[in-house]
Amino acid sequence: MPVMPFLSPISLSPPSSSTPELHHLLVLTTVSGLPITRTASQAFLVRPALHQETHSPGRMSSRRSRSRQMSSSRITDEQINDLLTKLQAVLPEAHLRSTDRVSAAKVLQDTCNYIRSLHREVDDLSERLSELLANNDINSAQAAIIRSLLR
Amino acid sequence: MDSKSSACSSPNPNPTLGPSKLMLAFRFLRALSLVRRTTPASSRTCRGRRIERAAYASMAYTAGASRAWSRAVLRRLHHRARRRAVAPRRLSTTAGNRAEALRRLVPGGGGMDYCTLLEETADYIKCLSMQVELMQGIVDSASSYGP
Repeated sequence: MPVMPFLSPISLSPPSSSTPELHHLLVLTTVSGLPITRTASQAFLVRPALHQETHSPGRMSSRRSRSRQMSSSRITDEQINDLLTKLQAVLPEAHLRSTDRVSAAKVLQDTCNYIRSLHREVDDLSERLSELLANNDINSAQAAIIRSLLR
Repeated sequence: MDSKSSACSSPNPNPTLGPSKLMLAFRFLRALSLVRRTTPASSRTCRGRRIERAAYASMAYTAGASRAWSRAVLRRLHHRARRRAVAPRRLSTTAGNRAEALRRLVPGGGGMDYCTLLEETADYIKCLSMQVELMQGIVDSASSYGP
């Protein structure tokens, strides 16, 4: 995003510059009135956009990040508390807990423990299923499963 | 087929069997039979790992592409099929970088902001517990059917 207002896209007739960056630098050096040779402007390419640094894209990005921070602080504690309550409702023994205020640390800790226990259960059940697949006649077992699921 | 349709039309005494649970059951059973067909009978741990991957895959497919965690699960499964290199973790540097332990547990958690993480965690837990319930039901009915 060009930060220099005098850098016009309508180009002055470019000397045999191949790259757009080189062309831009030649334009701005021409406009700024600095007598500059092509080789010197090529040297500028090694530290690209020297002028752009002084015209602080840092200022622009800090403006951007400041607005981003302002918008993220608009996500209120109320919303976060609401999300935490919904999360707590999915955890086991949710009816035992008080509904008015949730402690974020406790909910997160309980959630992590629950997810870990679910992962362990999947692991364990996978092993048991593996043994069952080896032993049983799968067609009759599958028929029994489907029947039990649809009953 | 007839017995199945009559079972569907009769009032279902099991109130918790929703459409997504049924989809999950069909997907997972199909994956199970595929695993049984393609895995040699001797390699038990290999079959166990494949069953576990089938569980996460059917869970993610049933959840759909609308969820960030399901996309992350499928991405991980497909990358694993291509190469075994571990992708470098993208550290979240935005504001609200909390709950690191939870981010490690939920698939795709590293790249989310805090609010999205909480939402995705709730959905992930719902689907994961559904998957565990299904697998437990299969194990119970299969072991009760046997001699």
